[in-house]
Amino acid sequence: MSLELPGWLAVAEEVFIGYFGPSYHESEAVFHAALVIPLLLLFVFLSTRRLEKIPTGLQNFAELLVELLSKFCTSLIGPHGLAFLPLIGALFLYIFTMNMFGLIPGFKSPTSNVNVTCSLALVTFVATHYYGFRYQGMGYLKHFAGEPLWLAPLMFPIHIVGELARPLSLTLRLYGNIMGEDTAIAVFIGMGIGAGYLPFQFPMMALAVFTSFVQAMIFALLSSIYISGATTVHEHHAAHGEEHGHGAHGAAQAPAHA
Amino acid sequence: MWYIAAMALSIGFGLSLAALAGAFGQSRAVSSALEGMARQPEAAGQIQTAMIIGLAFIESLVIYVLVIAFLLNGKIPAVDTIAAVMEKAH
Repeated sequence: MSLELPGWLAVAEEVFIGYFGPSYHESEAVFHAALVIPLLLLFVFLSTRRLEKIPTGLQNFAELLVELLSKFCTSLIGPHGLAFLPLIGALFLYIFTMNMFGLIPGFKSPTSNVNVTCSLALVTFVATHYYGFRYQGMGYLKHFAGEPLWLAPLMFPIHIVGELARPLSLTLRLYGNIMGEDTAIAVFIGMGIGAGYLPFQFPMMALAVFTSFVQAMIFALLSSIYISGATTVHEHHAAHGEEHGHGAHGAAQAPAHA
Repeated sequence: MWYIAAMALSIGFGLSLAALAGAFGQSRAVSSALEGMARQPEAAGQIQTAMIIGLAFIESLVIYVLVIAFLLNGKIPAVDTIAAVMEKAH
């Protein structure tokens, strides 16, 4: 569909035709997405192998990561945010590593494939509603009904459509950004080859590091805001008559927990 | 032929229009956020978080257009194909 450079799987298939089975490189994105998991596991294993009181090296870095991510969760979700640290932190690290994978020559960002980003967004979608029901019980359905109860027949479909639009926007945002960035790098490489093998793509790759980080952070941020909107219990919902919506309102109220 | 020409024009103009509108919206959001941060440096962290969320929502609209542009771009045949068709037509 778009311009992309052949990855090492495509090259390997050219060399060993039929060895990996027919057209294996079409599932390149899934393969690379699976390849990221052992890499992250290796990082976690190496950093927690010999725990010391005064951390050095990798353990220091891992502790920094965990501390930053736990601060991120508690500031966005609220006091119960630490329960979601495994989910949000894993999403962030996994997406960031996958985004950066495309910058290694011969490799491909799995997130530049719409199927991978869609599955990631579905994880957030399912987690949001699962924890919504778990934290609030059947009262979670009141979120969908809206504030004046007699408007519920009107508000219910609107809220359902709004909920369904979230995974769509999460999917397309991550996919479009990473795919566009990788395509731009591929175009710059082509231009550089045309101009006599000059590395035109380097400034674009520096920008891509920043984009990878920001997109991973935005995915984790929006996931935590959706979860915060679903799990924060407003016990004074009717008493104060405050408009505590969710969705777009959740985004506005989230910093108040900080 | 008109079909392909209209598609090629719509890709370029559509994406540039989306980029223009998105840049305008993002510039407004960032300038207001910077004003707020300058007035209240102690609230800079919260303002920054809210700003990044807003920027993400604005940017995703531009990204939708980018995705559609890529979809349409895949439908335009290569220059050689078009040249061959035009050769045959003459």
